[in-house]
Amino acid sequence: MTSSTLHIINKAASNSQLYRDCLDSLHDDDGVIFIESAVYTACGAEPEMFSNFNITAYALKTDILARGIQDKISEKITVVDDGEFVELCCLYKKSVSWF
Amino acid sequence: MTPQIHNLLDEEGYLIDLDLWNEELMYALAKADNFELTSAHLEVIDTIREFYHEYQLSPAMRPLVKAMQNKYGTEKGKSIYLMKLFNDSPPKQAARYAGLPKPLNCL
Amino acid sequence: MVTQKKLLLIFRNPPFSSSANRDNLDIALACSAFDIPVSLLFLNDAVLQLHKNQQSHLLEQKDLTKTLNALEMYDIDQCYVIDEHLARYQLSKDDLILNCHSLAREKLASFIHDFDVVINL
Repeated sequence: MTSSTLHIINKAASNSQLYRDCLDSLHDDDGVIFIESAVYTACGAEPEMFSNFNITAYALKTDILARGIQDKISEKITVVDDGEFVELCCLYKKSVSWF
Repeated sequence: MTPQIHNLLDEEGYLIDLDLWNEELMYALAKADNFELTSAHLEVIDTIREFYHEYQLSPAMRPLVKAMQNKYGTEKGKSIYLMKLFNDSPPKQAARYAGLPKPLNCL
Repeated sequence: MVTQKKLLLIFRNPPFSSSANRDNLDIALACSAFDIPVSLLFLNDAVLQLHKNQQSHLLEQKDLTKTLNALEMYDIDQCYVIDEHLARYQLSKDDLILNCHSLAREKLASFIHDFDVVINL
């Protein structure tokens, strides 16, 4: 188990304040997972806002497929299924939801 | 308990409409429990009502002890003192007679 | 004796917007009953929840600032705000109902990192 935090975001990036708060809260080696409407953030240039941070970014497969954006996901993103999401929650010391 | 009083209470015995509370009702509620209210109990009930008025919240044990301490000094500001005074959990039983909601977060 | 986990509650909402602040406050009060050490962080719009002189009765709502004042009676005194967030609304700590510690925005990440459990409502 790491001493790091898994940040869970479920809103689209138009919720700019939510993203700013989350970015302000990122510590080295933390993880961020995009779920629900936040999977759009995993597309194309959007993950750039996280590129200054030494973190790992994930996105939830089911939510990506449901929205039909599987071809647009940035290669910097690790796509995980529901089981792996649960494993991540156990792997990190704690999770913080940004809902 | 008379049916009229019973209609005013929720299933746990707390007054539904807090505005209906008066001393007569307080004594009737205690009597229905076969519980005799002394001046020592009235001090606690007063304190709880003041606490509720100030904080919009029925106190749990710790803040009730603190409020009693602030008002009546260390002798009465002790949980053991309150435990001896009531037969149920003091914050709960006193809140019932005080016509206030059940204290949340109360052990 | 089991070492208590350190719990952080993050408030993010302005007053009268939802039940989130009330719910978070209920968690804080419940933690007190179980002797769980808890810290409260009022992020962004949530600093407005701490603003003095609110008149909730005009909206026919309970006054949450009254209940926030009860935190002291529950031995909860670790409250934090970010200076930059106060400045955004031209607030100073004198405008707040609670005595809050100041936290620099750059320290937020390490601050959160030090807790064992974080509830972000």
